[in-house]
Amino acid sequence: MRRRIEDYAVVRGFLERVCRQVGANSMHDDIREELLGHIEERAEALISAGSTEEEAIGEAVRQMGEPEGIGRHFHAAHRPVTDWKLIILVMLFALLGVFASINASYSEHMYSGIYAYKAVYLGLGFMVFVMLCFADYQRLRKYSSTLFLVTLSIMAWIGITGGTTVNGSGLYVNFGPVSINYHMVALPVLLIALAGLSLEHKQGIIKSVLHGMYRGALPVVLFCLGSSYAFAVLYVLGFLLLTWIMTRSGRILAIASMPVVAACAIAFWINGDYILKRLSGFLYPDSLDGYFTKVSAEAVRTAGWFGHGFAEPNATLPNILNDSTFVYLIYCFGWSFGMMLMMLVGLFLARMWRIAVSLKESYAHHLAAVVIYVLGIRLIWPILMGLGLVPALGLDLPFLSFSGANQVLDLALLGLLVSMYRRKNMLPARVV
Amino acid sequence: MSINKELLKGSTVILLLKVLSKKEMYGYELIREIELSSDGVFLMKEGTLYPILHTLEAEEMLESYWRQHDGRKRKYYRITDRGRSMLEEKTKEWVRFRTAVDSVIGEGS
Repeated sequence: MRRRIEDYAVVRGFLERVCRQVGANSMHDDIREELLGHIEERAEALISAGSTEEEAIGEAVRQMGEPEGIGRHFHAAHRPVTDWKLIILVMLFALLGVFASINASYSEHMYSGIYAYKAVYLGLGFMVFVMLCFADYQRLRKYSSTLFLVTLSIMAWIGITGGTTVNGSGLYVNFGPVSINYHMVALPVLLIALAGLSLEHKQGIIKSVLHGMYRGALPVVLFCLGSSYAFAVLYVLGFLLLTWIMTRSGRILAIASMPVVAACAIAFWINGDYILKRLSGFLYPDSLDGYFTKVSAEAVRTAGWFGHGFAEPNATLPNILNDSTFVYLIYCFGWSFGMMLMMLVGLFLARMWRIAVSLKESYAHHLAAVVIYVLGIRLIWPILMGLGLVPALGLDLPFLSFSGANQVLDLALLGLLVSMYRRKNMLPARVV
Repeated sequence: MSINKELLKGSTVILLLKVLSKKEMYGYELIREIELSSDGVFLMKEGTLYPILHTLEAEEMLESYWRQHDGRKRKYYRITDRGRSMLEEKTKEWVRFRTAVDSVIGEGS
């Protein structure tokens, strides 16, 4: 009967008029199918009570009510939603970041005027952010495997030919005046690509091993070749997290992690002494590798509740623009300011979590997991590092530290999250 | 007996959540259930029910999915944990309201 009922002009007209009110085109089929099913069952009931088919269908449509009103109400339910709470928090972080770089640039002569660059990068970042907010994140998915392959190829290519050395690290690539740490970029990009690759709950052993080798171990090897052990570990954790979220299968997780563990073991075997020394440095503040922890603790201790004041020079803290941002802010403005920052970070993470939980579609879930993981670890680690609780790694606080071109990427990740939230009510129900 | 529209509107959500808290249902089934168990008092325009269901889903009170049944595709609704706690809260509110009205107009008179 379904085919025939759609042929009635009253039915078609009714559905047309409902759907015309609904802005989200992606919902039209879903709404149409659901209302059609209802009209059909109502008409069948009326026919078995003695009506002719034509009368029954006319009556069933009449009982539905006024189509424009129904359509407008549907429209309201499927409108794009903007998460202002997250956007306001990001703006607040951005402003604090500009303030922090003004503070740093007045403190050290070599940084003078650096806040202008910060503002330019922020502007650029917000442009990307707004663009991505309005974009359909689902289109990204079909480029996932290409993105993954291209990123790995670039890592391998630069790893072999050598990048430019900035601050003693050879992991930088120059684009005109901009130098980018390409491992820093590769970490989130690889994980974003990973979120869109196919990985099934019931895949076989061979596919799981290949998954572990190509998507897990190979990136680890490339990170380790550039001595980015910290990024290698962060990548491994992200890889395992995604593999678990995407399959919910302990078996696949175990199989896929074997090649990864092997790659890590080889890296450790080759360069274990160095890694151990760096990792344990924070436990021995008086050793050479504990320097960062030692001067951070000293700066925090002397700060008191209200700090030493705006742009107070501190000659011992290394890299107050990036690695020591958090500690230097405490040094200048005190423990109270540090606590406020930690509270803001907490609010920000909680908001991202809330957004991720409200998403219904699986790709969106995986992407959100990547965004929260990457930004979460980069927000929490440098804070704990400044407080001397974890090993010192070259991680900058997103938004708050100078970050250079990194913040374009950070804002892009957030743009994706906002885009997913915007479209969460515009997705048709799944078929089981 | 016909009931004032405004009174109906406020109670539709609580009715939908209550019925769905017992069983997953599709739209037509849901309307029939409400009609039957309310002695036909809740005769609303049937089409208006669907946008309410969609709104409740956007508010994470319900989840929906399509299932093939007897050669028919039907969209089923299921209550979420959030929906259940909302129902509990609304029920309490309703009982307070009803008790207050009863005591003003004089119960049983």
